[in-house]
Amino acid sequence: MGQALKDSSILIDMAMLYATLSLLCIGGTIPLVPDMHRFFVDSRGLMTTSEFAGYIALAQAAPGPNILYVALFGYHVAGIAGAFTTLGAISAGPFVFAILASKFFARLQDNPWREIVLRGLAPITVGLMLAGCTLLTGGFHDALAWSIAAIALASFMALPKLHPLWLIGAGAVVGALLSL
Amino acid sequence: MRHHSPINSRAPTHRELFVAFFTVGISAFGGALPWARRVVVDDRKWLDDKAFTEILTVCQAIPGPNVINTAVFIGAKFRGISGAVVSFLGLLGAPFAIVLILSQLYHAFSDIAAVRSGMKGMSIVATAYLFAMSLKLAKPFQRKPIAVVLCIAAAIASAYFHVHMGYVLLAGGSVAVALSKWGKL
Repeated sequence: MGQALKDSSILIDMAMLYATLSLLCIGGTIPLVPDMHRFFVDSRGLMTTSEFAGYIALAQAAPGPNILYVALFGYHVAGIAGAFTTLGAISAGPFVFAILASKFFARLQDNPWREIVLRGLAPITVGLMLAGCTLLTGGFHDALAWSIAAIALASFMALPKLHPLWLIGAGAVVGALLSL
Repeated sequence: MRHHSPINSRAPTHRELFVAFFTVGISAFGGALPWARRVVVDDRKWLDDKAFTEILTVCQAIPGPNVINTAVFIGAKFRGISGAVVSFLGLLGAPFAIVLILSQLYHAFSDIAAVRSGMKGMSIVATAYLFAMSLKLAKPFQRKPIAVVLCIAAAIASAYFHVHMGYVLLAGGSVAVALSKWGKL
C-alpha cells in the first residue's frame, strides 16, 4: 500500500512537471533540460547525471522524435506507466493547442506578435539550451571525457553536413574501446 | 530545385495520415521535421512547400514539441480531431516502443563494462552535438550584443543559480520581447 501510494505520487509529480514544461516549450525541448535535470537528478536523486545524459543520447540515436528521452526518464522512474505519464503529460497541452492553431490558422499567421515574440525569446531559449549542456557535462568525470567532447564538438562545427548519427555512433565505439 | 507537381485535391484519409506519420516516425533519425516535409510535401503532395513552411512557422510559435505540433496540426487540418489523434499515434507509437526496448536492452547488458562505457561515449558526443546546435542557433546574435547578453544571462541564471525555467522565461523573456518590439533585437 505504501509503495503503491509512493508510486502514484511520483507519477502525479512527473505529470505536473511535464504538463507545466509543455506550456513553456517554445523552440524545442532542449531548453527544458535544466528543469528536468533539477527534478530527476538534483532534487529527487532518481538518476545520475550520466544516466540522464545517456537517455538523451539514446533517444537521439533511435528513430523518431528526439523528445522521446522524456519517455525514457519516466520509464526509468516508474516503468511503462511512467513512460506513458511523461510522454502523455508533455503532449496533452500541445495537442490541444495545435488543434486550435489549425482552426485559427489565418489569424495566427497574420499576427505580427508571432514574429516579435519568437525573435525576442530566441536568445533566452538558446541560453537555456546552453545551460542544459553545461549541466550534462556534470557527467564528464575525467580529462578523457572532456577530450572526446572537444573533438566531437570540433567535428560537428567543421562538418555541418555530416549526419550527427555517425559521430554519435563513433562515440559509442570509442567509448567501448577506451573503457570510459 | 524542387519540382512543383500539382497538389492532391483529395484530403488524405485517416489511414493515410497514420501511415504517413508512421513513416516519418520510424525513418526520422536525429530530427523528424525534415522527414515530415519529405513525406507530406515531396512524396504525398498533400501540401506544397509554402503551405508546409507556413504551418511550421505557426507550430513553432505555439507551446510544445514542434514535430508533435506539426503532425497534430496537419491531421486536424485534413480530418479534424480524429485525424489529429491518428497522426499523433502514427508519429509516436513505433518510436516510443523502440526506445523503451533499446533502454531495456541496455539495462540487460549494462553489466558488461564495454556496454556501459560505449553508452558513456555516446552521451558525451550527444552532449557535444546539443552544444554545437545551440551555437548554431546563437550565430545570428553575433551582431546583436544585447542578444548575447540576454543569452548568457539566461544560461547563467539557469545553470549556476538553478532558477526555474518559468522565471527565466518570464523575466528574460519579457525584457527580450519588449526589446524585440522596439526593434532592438
